[in-house]
Amino acid sequence: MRAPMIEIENLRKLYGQHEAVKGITFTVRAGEILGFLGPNGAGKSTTMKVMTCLTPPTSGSVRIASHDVLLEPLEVRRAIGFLPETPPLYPEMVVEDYLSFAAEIRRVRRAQRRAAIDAALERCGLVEVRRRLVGNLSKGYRQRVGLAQAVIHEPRILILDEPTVGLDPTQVIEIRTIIRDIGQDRTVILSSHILPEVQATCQRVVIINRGQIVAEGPMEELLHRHGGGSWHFTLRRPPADDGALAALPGLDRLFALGGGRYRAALVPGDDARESAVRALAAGPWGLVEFAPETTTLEEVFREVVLQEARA
Amino acid sequence: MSQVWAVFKRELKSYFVSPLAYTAIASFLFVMNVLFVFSLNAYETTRRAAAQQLQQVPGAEALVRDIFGGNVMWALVFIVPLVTMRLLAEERRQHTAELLLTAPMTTRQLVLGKFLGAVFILAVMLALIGWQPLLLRMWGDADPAPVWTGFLAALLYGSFLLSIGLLASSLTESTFVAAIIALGLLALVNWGGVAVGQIPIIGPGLEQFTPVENLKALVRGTIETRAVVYFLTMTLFVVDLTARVVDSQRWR
Repeated sequence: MRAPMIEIENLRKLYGQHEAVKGITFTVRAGEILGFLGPNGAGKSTTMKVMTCLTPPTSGSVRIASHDVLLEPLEVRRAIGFLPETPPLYPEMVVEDYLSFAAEIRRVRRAQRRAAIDAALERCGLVEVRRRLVGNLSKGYRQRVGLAQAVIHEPRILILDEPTVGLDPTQVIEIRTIIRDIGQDRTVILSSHILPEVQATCQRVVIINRGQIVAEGPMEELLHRHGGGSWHFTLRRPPADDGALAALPGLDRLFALGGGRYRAALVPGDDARESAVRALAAGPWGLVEFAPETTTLEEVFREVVLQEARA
Repeated sequence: MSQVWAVFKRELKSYFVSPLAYTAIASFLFVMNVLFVFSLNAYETTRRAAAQQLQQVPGAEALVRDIFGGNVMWALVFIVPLVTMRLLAEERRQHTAELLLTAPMTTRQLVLGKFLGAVFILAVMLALIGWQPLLLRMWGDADPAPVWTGFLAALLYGSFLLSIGLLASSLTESTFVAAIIALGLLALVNWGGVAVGQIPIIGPGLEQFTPVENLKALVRGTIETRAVVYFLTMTLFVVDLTARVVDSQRWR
C-alpha cells in the first residue's frame, strides 16, 4: 500500500452557526487522482481551504504529507500546489513574470527557476502567450496560468478546486489532459460538480453532500455497485415470446427493452456469464451484442444525492 | 527573507505598471511644491519683519524644518492612503491572497514585503522633493544638520503613516474603503497629536508620546535616539498588528 498523502479524519468546519463540513474522513494515497464530488455548497471548497491552511478546521485532523495543517502549516504549504476556484492571477503581470513570482514564493531555487518556468509553460500549453499580460488572456488561458502556478514547484500534492469550471468543451478536454499528465507522478485531488469531468480523470471518487460523505470508492466499483451488475444484449431475430429466453441458464430478471434489445441480471456464480452467452449464441436468435450495462457517474451521483435528500 | 524580497519586487513592479504610483508621486510633488512657495513667502515676511526691528534674522534652516516638520507631515496624510490602499485589499478582491497565503511563507513575511514596497515609493517621493532643502542649503546658507535629519525624520514618520495605511488596507476588500479608513486614521494621528498638547496640565507631558512631537524632535537637527526608537517600534508594532489581522481573517 502506498503512503497516505492526504489524511482527513473527522473534519468539521463551522462558519458561525452554519456547519459547512460535518465530520468527513478519507485518505488519498501517493500517486492517486481523487475526484471530490458534490453539488454546489456541499463543502468541497471548505474542505480544500482547510487542506491548504487557508482556514483552520473547527475539529478533527487534517494531515498533508504527514504534516498537520494546524501544527506545521509551512511544511504543508511547501508540499502542495493549489488552484483555487478563482485562479489567483495578477492581471497587470506578464505570464512569465507571474510564474517567476509564483516560483519564488514557492521557494524554487534561483538556479532552477528558469527551467521550472519553461517546464510549466510547456506543460500547460502557454509557450505562445508567455510574454502576454495575464489580464488580456482568454478564460481558458487564464485557467492554464492558474494551473501552471500550481505545478511550478513540482509539488507532491496538487489540490485543484473546480479546475474546468466555465471553460468550453475543447478547453475542458485540454485541461483534463494536462491534469492526467501531471497526475502520473503525483497525488491529485480535484473537486467538481461536473461528473464526466471526474469520470474522465479520476481513479477514485468521494462524493459529499451537505457536508457529509455519501459515497466513496474506486470509480469502477462505484459504477458497478450502483449499476447493480446488469447486462444488456441484442438479438437480430428476437423470439415472439420472452419465455424462451427467460428459461436460459445464467440469466435472471429478464427485461425486454424493445427492438431486440434486452436487459438482464446474471445469476450468482462464476460461470453464469459464460453459460448465458453460450446459450444465447446457440439459439436461433442471432446474438450480436452482450455487454455490461454502463452506469455513468451522473446516475450514481443523482442516486446517492437523492437518497440523501429523501432520508 | 527571500520571500520578503519576492513580495517586495512584485509590489514595486505592480506600482509602476499602474498609474497609481505615478499619480501618488505627482500629487505629492504638486502639494509639496505649492506648500514650498507658501513657506518661502511666509519666511520672507518674517525675515523682513525681523530685519526692520533690527532683530536676529532666522536662518534658512527654519524653512528646512518647515518643509520636513510641516509640509511633509500634512501632505503625507493625503498621499499615504493612495499608496497603501490597494496593498492588501486588492489581493483579497482579486483572489490573489489565496496564492500568497498558501505559499510557504509566514504572514509577517508577506506583510513586511508589502510594507517595504510602499516605503520604497515614499523614498522616491522624498528624493524628488530633495531639491527644496538642498536649494536652501546651497543658496540660503541653511545649516546642513536639519537637512539630513529632516530626510530621516520624514522617512521614519512617513513609514509609520504607511504602516497605518497598510493596516487599513487589511480591514476591507475595497480599495476605496481602505483609503477612507487610512485617511481618517492618519488625520487622527496628526490632528490628535497636535490637540494633545492643548490639554491643560497633562497635555505637555503626554505630548512627547505623540508622533508629531517626535517628528519635530528629529527635524531640529540632531538625531534623537529616543524619537528614532519611537518610530521604529511604533511602525513595527502596526506592521505586526496587520499580520495578525490578516491571520485572524483565516478563521472567518
